[in-house]
Amino acid sequence: MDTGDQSRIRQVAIFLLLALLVPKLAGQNSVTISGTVKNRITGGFLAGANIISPTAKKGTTADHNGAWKLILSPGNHLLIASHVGFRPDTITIKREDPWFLPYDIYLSPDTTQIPAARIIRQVDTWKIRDLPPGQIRLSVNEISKVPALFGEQDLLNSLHSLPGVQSVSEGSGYLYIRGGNADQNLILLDEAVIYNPSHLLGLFSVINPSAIHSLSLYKGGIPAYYGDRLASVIELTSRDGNFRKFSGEASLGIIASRIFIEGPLVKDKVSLLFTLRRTQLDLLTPFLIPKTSVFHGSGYSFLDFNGKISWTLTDHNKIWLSVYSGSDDFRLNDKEYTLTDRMSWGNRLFSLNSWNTTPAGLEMRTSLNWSGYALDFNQVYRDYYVGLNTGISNIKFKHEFLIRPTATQLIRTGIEIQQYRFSPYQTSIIAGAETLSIGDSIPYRAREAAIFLHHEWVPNRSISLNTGVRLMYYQHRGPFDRFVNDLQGFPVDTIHYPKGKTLADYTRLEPRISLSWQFYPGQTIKVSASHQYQPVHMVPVATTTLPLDLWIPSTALVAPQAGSSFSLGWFPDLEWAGLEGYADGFYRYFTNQVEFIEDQSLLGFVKDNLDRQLTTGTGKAYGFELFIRKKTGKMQGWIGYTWSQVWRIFPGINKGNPFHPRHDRTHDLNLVLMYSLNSRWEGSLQFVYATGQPTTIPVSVYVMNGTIVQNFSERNSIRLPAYHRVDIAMTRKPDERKKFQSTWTFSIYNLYNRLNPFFIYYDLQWDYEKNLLSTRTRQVALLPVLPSITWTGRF
Amino acid sequence: MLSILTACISDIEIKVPETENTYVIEGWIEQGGFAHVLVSHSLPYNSTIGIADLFELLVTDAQVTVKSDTGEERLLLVEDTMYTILPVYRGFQLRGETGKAYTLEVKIGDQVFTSTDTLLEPIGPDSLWFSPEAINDSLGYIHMRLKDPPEPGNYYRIFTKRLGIDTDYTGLSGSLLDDHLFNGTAINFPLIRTGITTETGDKHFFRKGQRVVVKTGVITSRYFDFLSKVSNEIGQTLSPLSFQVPAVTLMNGGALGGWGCYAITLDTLDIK
Repeated sequence: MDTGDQSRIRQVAIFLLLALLVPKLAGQNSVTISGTVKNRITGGFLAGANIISPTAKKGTTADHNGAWKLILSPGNHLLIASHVGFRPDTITIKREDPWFLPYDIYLSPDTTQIPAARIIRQVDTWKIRDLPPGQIRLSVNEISKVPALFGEQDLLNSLHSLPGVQSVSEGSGYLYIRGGNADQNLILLDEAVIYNPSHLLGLFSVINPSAIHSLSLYKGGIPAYYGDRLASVIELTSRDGNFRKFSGEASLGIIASRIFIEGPLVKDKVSLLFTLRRTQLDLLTPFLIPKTSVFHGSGYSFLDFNGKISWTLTDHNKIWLSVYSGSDDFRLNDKEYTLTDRMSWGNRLFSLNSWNTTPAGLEMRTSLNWSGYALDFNQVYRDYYVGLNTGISNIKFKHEFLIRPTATQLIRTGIEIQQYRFSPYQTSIIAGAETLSIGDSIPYRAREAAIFLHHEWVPNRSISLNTGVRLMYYQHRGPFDRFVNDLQGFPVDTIHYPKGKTLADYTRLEPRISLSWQFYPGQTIKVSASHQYQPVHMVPVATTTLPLDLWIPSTALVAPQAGSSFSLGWFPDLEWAGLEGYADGFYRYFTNQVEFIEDQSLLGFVKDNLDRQLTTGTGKAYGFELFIRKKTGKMQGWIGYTWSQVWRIFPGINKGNPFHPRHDRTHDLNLVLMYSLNSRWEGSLQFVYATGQPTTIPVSVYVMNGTIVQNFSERNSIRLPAYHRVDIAMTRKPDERKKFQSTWTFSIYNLYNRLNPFFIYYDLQWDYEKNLLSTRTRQVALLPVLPSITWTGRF
Repeated sequence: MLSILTACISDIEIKVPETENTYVIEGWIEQGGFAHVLVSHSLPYNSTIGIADLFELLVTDAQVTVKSDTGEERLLLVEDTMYTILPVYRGFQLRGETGKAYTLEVKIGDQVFTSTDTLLEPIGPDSLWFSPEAINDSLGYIHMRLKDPPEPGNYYRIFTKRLGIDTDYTGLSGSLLDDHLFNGTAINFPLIRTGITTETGDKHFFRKGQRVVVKTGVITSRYFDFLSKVSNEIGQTLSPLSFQVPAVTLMNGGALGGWGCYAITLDTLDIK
């Protein structure tokens, strides 16, 4: 740990200590009322339900288990529970009631209110002002209205429309949040990690919206119960199946189709949810690539599956098992050269979770999960074969307690234990009868244990203080083969470390703090500071978003990444205007950032341990975000703007000069508008603008070996043209009175056919008649104007 | 959807910053042969280059000297069409010998650029053979079986020349090999022809009836690394899979380029 790290930790730790001591001085003239909100028809928990006390002028939102708590003064109170699509209900709390017993509220669906897209499951009733600093939530409801590529609703790609969340190029599925790299986002589905979030070169995310209940994004002020990533946490919660009756949904789009079925296995106790999505591209390619073509037999397909079994043991004990499996498969046949390329990749995860509460208010959450990502590539030409595979998997156990020692405090504490297996780059080459030897044939193995303590304190209506600390211990363990190289980098010996041998270990302390203070009626500021570590690294090997990124662990040669984040925001009350919004500034500093050594060729690192082919550097990002949102009325939507600067400095790259990573965008603007024309038709529009991507281009040419060779500029010193486009969509909602309901969505992606570059390349043109060689720069635009139609039926 | 399969390709205007031209030096020596050195300079990226311009690129007033422990020779600027259509600085006295180190020194005005390399022992192929392709059996690849010595650290570069067709030896696609992956073993691999050709249909193949000379060169690791990086840079022209990095050089003094020694074997295959 360098001196800068220690200094930053010390500052945050002092702040944290003070924050933990101050609540002791607070009074306890209040009680905590808690309970759950459930769907009276399906029996499922209603996440996102609102519970308010008009007399106390207080309110809260149910969490993803439908659980809620509210701090009130002792006495009589009227509580109103509401949820879009459900009839509100009221309960009365009397002074003499045993306040420590939970209150369970059942809401009945209100068919007169149910919006057309009945896939809507989360209600957008939260207010940004009430959320902790850096946190934002998206409802499936809203996402379903935003125009989507080929009409495919996409939760993760829709995050790009929020300030502070950037993309790297057209069709990129990765998220770059407040200057962080793609690997610095912890994407969790029911607590299990999703390592690669993309299908089809990033055009679609692996998240099937049918299976998702809610999404929360933490851009800053990440609580201590999350770790292992520097930039953000994206928490996806899958939905429970219907506990009372079977129902289903099917949709047919141009690119993909899906089916969704849910229902009770044991009424009111056990429910099942099952959803399957696949693309039709592979079915269409035989027609697009005829038998006469040398490429006949080439194609692409993706498939994903989500399943969930939920078992409600009692109203206060719940167990659920979530399963996800997704795969992409690309095949290129070239009959002329008798060559076949095949690449397949995908994520898999299993997550077993339990949630228990006691009448005394103690809450326990436990998760045991496994997740993995793997990519296989092979090329076959006659009896020559090149195979490459890369992958990562981890098994994780997490157990935490939620304790409310006083009415104004919540403590969330627990442990997290993980075991990793990395196969960053395993290659096999067969040439005739010979199989060639390759380095790093033994996977890397690592273990990690963390304990965390998170504390929330709401001493009064104006202040909310979250503090936390996380202690992480990490080991790189055997078995492992470390190559001993000569001066030319040729392995002359191998040191074998046996199973269980610790090759490197790191202990790291991660303090976090965030404060929300309403300093004047209707005026809130939020501040957050944190220092975090990340023991896993994804090293990019390509300038496009192909799924070739390699995950590697921290080892003796590569220390965990570290990052300090600070934010300061102003959150005014704009309800008088029917709006909400904020202005939020941020600063981040990263160390131990990892890249491949400059001019490392793709095949270069098969000769050596992969961690020796890496170089480390630092990074920083700063900027501010503006966000204004209208949540009521016929016209709804939001506008988000981010100004930011992102830098990286690597002593071994770009001659040590600072450079912008490809996701640096000075200006990033998103406008989303949704308009309800009448009870059956809704329209929406999205406008996106971003400063052009930084890129590296040739600045001169020279002759070498009889060929023109290009000499490139400093890394990413040139900007591509700005990125912008407009998408529109119209949705015809179903007749709610009918049993079988059809929804039609008509959309146009990139309305004015802006050709935004997916990547650029440099072409050398030889004019044989004039004997002239000329250079030109060309761009490949992936997505021109694309109309689409999607049908969804529900039964 | 079709657009995803075919993509949309168009020209794009990007303002390229102006840069100063840099000297470029490319030199080599083979065992039993004389040194050859091309000295030129780079051009701005947006240039259009004709045959006449290639001559303009040449630096003709350089003092080019090759030195070894047995002597030194100042090279003369000559036309040697065996290697290049361009005038080249060439030696006539100092022949390459295996086991010796050779230093190239190029003086242009008051600037001096130097580089040193060693000429190793040659290693030739065990065998060469031709295998026809499925679609057109008159076309196909030449295959080589190479037995690598047990000592690690052997680096190869392989060229071919179709007699009566090619004027020069052509470096093959993937012509650079090192034995990190196959040290001490015998491996088979195809020779995939590259180079500009106006012949229709032959593409990367050889054709029945052709007589082909295969030149197998053994080079040092530093020269191998240099050539690999230059090869990567050429590949980056069209590949979205690679990082673009500044030009590499083996020359001391600020010029681009490199100087290498080849220990060669020549084998001829009549394709029947």
